[in-house]
Amino acid sequence: MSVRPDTLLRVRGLRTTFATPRGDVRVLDGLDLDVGRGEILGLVGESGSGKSVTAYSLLRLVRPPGRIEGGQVLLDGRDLLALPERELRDVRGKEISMIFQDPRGFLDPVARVGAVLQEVYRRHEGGSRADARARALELLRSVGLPTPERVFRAYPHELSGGMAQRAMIALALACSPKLLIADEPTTALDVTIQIQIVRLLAELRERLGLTIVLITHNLSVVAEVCDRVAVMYAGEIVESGPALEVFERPRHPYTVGLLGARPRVTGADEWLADIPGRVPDLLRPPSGCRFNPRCFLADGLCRAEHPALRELEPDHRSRCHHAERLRGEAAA
Amino acid sequence: MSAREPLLRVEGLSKSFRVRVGGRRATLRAVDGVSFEIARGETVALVGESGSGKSTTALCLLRLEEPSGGRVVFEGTDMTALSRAELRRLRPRLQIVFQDPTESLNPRRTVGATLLEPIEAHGIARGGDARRRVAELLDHVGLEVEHARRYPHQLSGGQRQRVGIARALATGPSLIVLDEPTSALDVSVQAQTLNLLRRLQREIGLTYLFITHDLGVVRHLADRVLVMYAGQLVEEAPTAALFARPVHPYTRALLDAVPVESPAQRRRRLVLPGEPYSPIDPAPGCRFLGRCPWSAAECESPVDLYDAGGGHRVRCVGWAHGRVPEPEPEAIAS
Repeated sequence: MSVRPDTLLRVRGLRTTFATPRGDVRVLDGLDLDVGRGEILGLVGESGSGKSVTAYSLLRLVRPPGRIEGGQVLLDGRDLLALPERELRDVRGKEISMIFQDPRGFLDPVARVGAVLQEVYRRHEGGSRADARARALELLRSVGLPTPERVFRAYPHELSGGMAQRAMIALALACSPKLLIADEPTTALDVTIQIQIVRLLAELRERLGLTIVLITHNLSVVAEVCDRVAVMYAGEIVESGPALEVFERPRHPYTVGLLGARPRVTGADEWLADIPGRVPDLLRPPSGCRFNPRCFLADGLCRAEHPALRELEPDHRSRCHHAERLRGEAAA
Repeated sequence: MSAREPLLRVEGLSKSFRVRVGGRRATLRAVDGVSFEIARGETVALVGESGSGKSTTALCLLRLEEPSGGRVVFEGTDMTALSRAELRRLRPRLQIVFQDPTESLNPRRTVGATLLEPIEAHGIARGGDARRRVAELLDHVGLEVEHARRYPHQLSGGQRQRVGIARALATGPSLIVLDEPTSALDVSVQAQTLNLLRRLQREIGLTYLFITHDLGVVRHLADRVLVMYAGQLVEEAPTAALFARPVHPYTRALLDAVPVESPAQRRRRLVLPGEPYSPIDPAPGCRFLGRCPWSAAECESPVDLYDAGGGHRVRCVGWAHGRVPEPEPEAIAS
């Protein structure tokens, strides 16, 4: 696999397992992922694909019954999985920050937004209260809140969904991280607010050179803003590449299926192209390719042999034995 | 009931709630004078964002919320004038499917028992006939007979929503209100469910009121669209006409906010400032006024729905007076 020179985050062989009464479930099974500096990578998948577990594993926030069993998470060459917990605490917030789907469930409900921002800033950066207050107000303004002073004094429940998400982004940016992990940041928002937040993420990348991993089930959000995309299925990356390439020339049958299953505003197809069947039980994943029971290309080879993630074009990879047969078979 | 009578006619439907804002008493006009009709066999989409009143409208139609005013005439009967007992007799004809099947199914009941209940309660069938009807319903929605013995937690999200649809079908309804029925589902499962709804409509001749915020779903399934903003209907049009020529400034913003389908289509867009507005003690004028790029003094007076031709109605005085320009064709996704 070729490695691009400007990689900020490099994940190799990441394995995360969850213990269940019926046995161990390997939710991530040897995940490899590269994120370039200043890039927005979309990590796409449906429920149970392992996309959120990936986010938590990168920050070592996996809690029992889950555990990280192996692999490397290299941030600027330093392996986060090998760091002592104390050093890792400095990495969280200062080098990597995370935002979530429900900001109001995450922000402290009994603390004013400004107080939390000031505290986070002072704990990491020191300085006077006045400095911290000025910085907090500047952050709130920089995420497009029209009345930063009002938000500074507000409690989370007094904010609308869109304002709360902006406030959480301000908090995530308090210590100028290099990498922002955004886990379904627009899923709970209205259509017109969703596009505001997506535009904000794009603007922060431009202005701050921020690197963003955007985790979502919504392919259109990826189409709107991501430079590269990685598609996950049943704990593995099944396709990755430049967003334009993956959308216009998908090289994995699952990606083809996902793109075709979207009801579109541009055309009224009579029937949607659905993907038959459902996500496999990871306790007993299918033999060979994990997608084979639902795949229109599956044959004996797919049932017998687990495919590797292969590079077909520069930076465009697919985990399909028959990827060559999908050339130019765009769903759009 | 005459042949030309619509299946459902809603006239001036209103629902207010008393609320307190900073200790002061106020009135939230959640649904404010909403009127529309649905013809037999039609799929009408009711579109809006949080606080637009779309779900409250649905609950009032079924009288799961008591409307504060207006009339709902269903199959020729004024539902708002009925007693609880009379309403119960009409219930089998008018059903609802909710967004979250997990919350709307009893976790301690098997799928079979859940489906049997309405069939027996409304005296549709008993004993062996009722059980055969359950098997038929399961088959209709693409489930197997053995699913009747399962509990909701033993099913996937998509399967649970199929049970929710089967339960709505159990009593032989003519109209089904679908309240965001696929919002909680994954893309591939959503596609399966939308295809199922379309197939059922063809096979059984159902009429749907489809409540959603997803404009892709609207384009795919609806014959006609109603757009709500802050408790009022702001635009109504046949689906193709609405997407080709969104007239109300809010509808334009809503369509412009839909993310692109491929990175190849990225474009500059007019990002609408501000947030959806809660109609608490609303001023008499246009409720979109504060976010509208074309607002003017005349927008501060009450605004009627204007006829835009071909069943297209718009609540925008600026457009009616030629001040708000027609939408540019290239501004619309094509």
